[in-house]
Amino acid sequence: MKQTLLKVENLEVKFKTLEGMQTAVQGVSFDVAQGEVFCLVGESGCGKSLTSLSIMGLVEKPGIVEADAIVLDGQDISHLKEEKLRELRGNKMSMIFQEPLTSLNPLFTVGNQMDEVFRLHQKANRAKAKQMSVEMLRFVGIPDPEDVYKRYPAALSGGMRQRVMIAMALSCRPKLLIADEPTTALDVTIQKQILKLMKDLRRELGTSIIFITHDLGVVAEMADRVAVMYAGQIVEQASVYDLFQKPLHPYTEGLINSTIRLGDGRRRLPTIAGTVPPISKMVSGCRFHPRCPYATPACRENAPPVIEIQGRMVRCIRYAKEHKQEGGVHV
Amino acid sequence: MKQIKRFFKLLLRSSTGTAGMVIVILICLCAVFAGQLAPHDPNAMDLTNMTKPPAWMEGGDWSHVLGTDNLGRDILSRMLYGSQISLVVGILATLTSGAVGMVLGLVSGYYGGVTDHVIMRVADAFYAIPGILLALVTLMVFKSSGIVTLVLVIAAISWVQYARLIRSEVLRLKGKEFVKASKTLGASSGYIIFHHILPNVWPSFIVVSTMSVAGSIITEASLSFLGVGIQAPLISWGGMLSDGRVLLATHWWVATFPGIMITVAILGITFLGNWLRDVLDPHNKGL
Amino acid sequence: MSEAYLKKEPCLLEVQGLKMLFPTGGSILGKNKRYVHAVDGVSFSLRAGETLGIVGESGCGKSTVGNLIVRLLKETEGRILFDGHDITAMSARQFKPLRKEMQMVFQDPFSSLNPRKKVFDIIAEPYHIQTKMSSAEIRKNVEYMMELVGLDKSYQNRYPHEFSGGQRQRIGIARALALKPKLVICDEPVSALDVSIQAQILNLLKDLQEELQLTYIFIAHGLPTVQYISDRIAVMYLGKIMELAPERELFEHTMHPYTEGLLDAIPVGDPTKRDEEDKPILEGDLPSPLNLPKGCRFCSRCKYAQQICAQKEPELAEVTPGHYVCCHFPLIASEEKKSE
Repeated sequence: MKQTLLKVENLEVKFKTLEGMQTAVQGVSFDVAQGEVFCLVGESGCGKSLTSLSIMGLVEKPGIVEADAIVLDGQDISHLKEEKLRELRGNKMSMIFQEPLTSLNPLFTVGNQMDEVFRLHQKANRAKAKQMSVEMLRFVGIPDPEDVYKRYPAALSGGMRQRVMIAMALSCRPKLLIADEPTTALDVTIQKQILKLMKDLRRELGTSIIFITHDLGVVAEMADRVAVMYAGQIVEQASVYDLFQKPLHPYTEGLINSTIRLGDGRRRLPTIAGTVPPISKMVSGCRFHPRCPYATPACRENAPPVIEIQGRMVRCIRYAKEHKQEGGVHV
Repeated sequence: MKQIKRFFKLLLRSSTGTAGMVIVILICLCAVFAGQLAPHDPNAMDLTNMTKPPAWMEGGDWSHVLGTDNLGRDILSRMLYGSQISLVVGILATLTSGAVGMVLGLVSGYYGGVTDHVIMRVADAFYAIPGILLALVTLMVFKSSGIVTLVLVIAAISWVQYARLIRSEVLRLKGKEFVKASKTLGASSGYIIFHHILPNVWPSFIVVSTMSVAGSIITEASLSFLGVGIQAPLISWGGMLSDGRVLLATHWWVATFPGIMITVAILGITFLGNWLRDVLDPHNKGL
Repeated sequence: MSEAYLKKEPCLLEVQGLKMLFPTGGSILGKNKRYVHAVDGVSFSLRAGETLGIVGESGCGKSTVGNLIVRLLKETEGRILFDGHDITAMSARQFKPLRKEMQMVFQDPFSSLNPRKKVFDIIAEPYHIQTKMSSAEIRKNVEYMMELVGLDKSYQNRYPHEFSGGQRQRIGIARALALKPKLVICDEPVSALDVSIQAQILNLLKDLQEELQLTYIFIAHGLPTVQYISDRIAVMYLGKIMELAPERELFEHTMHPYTEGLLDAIPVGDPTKRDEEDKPILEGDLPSPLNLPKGCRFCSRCKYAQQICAQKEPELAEVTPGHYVCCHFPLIASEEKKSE
């Protein structure tokens, strides 16, 4: 077993609104091993982005983050002050976002912005910083790094910008890279290039990656382990092979089945009925029960236990009867 | 009913919003009930009681709470009546400039092309001339200082901000898919403007209008202070300031109270406007 | 829907040599103007009851084609025949009655509904604009449409922001179908939706097609989605159709290198298969549409490119019956040559 790099325990994100306190992320626990690609998958509003922002300490007011522990590389960062967190960001952990155009400052050249990272975190001088920046740009597969170094972000294509973002994020060799839907805004052929790049980088640098996506196809391509999120909770956690071979949670099963594959034209796509309940009107019992084909009256009343089966975790009552509960927590 | 309840809930959440609302309501009440509230006739001169200090100072008494000016007129009464003029001028000027700016902004943004170019260059020209200067010259040339003239002059220098705001809003909305959908259904320009553009422009229009009332009150006060605005026997805060200016060293209260009034009124309206902006913002899930 | 059945149907839409140039830069006087060739000579025809999928990456002009057909844009060149009428030659007034025959479903379920209108008013809008129905008739029709797209009619007094993306897209579909159009142009109708909702909407579109005998043009950037719903697929790249073929044919006998690249880029969706794939991927970026390569516009990214590709632009040609390719060296053809 590889060493654990990140351990998140019982993470909760709440928002104070007019209607009162609303919980957007609840009881989220997982860990990420060194060099592992851990995918957080779920639909919009399931809390996957908030989870990653909480790790980075970037949840803005009025959001409130609470966790029993967030341990990164042996250090509990859940109660760190902003200045301490800022030191870690970019250095030990960094993040890339869906829309690279908005995460780059349009008024400065790529070079300016990259140099800054080196000068800030590694105290490099001007010439040294430039050399390191160009090196980094070449490292992420940009064909003409000297040219891109001098350009403004707006002059680059979406794929190039995302490469620049990755270069910046990796410039201090962080141990953890959080990628929040990094390919969603890109065309398929460019997505393929970026995914390949991230896999190559992981292999070369041994960086752990938390990869957030809504696309199961991308999960199948990238992940070592997967956590499926639904309505603010992790409903299933397993290795990618187990998950695709035998999804345990009805939601995972529905997601996999309703993903369109080539050659599906002659069969009718199965769907998950209904929609995700809004966090302001969260349903009682299991959060998935109104859409679940296997729902029983018990699902409506009791929140399902977290059950561990053969190194996997699932939040569903169906597995409670058949398996002995091992440290199952009633929420 | 639910809407009203929600409105108040939102209002009470913001302290500045509440303060603004209270101030605006108080000023409106002053204006409406000036006749009942004022202890004296605002224009009645009382040569036995000239430059009487406010009640709490030595020599003052409670018949003239805020004192009198150099002609013995009661300052409190004059301020109450002054609020009428300020509000009337502020609101009328806003309505006039708002209407002109709205129409020109809609036309400019929706039809684009040459029309847009012409309207926007005229707007630029108006914007380039210092407003107060333009107003001063116009008022002096026409030598008439009725409320109507004043309102028109203030409207002439403030329509530009509406036209620009509305135009940019229209440009944003024009690209929205619901406008395209309406076009594919064969809707006419008029239909699209009235059914899709206007209802969405409305909130920003209301916010700017609120702010603009404050601006108009200041402009009116400035012009009256400079002596080209409201003329006696009509009373305005600006005019009172002007009257009190020469007495500032000896009888500070004559100019100070109308000054405070102007400040409070503008603050109140601006607070209210800022709060409205937050609440009516479509990104805010408020109302 | 069998192809034999389709052949019997009359041609509903014919697009001939459609071009759309957008001017960029330059002064108002028209000096130094450059043009983006958003659509650069597109031709295809569509039979009643058929679904044509148009697929391509951003900037390939697929949405512009859709906007040109419903006359949201005026073409620079070319003709569009709808039901035998040349709609490019019509004035807005002449075209108005034809508008109800062709409707559009938009991509963004948030921007496509007026946030200040109730659901009822949104779906009633087509009737107000195009018909003289009484309000009772309109109410009946709106309720029928809501039921048709799977919306509870008790929702009619709600505002769009009270709905989820999928439900909003249903409202958009109800509005588009309200006047019983013949042709519906679906411009990326599911790409803004969550996976589990995408399948719901695609199935709905399929059901409605059968029930109302609709003809679709389905525009999307993802091949799996397009393929799920289309009878024929056109692959576009930088304003031109690169390959046009029946759905099965396109996947089984891919002829254009770009289509091949698109297919290879689709995530496999099976983790056990990912390590085998060491296939070369489509490298490079789209060239700027302001600065198209000479010759074939795909040659800068094409691994099979030869000298002629950089000099002479290929034409869209029918290589096998019903299968059109715009390439000097269609893949199947060259494989056959190799085996000879």
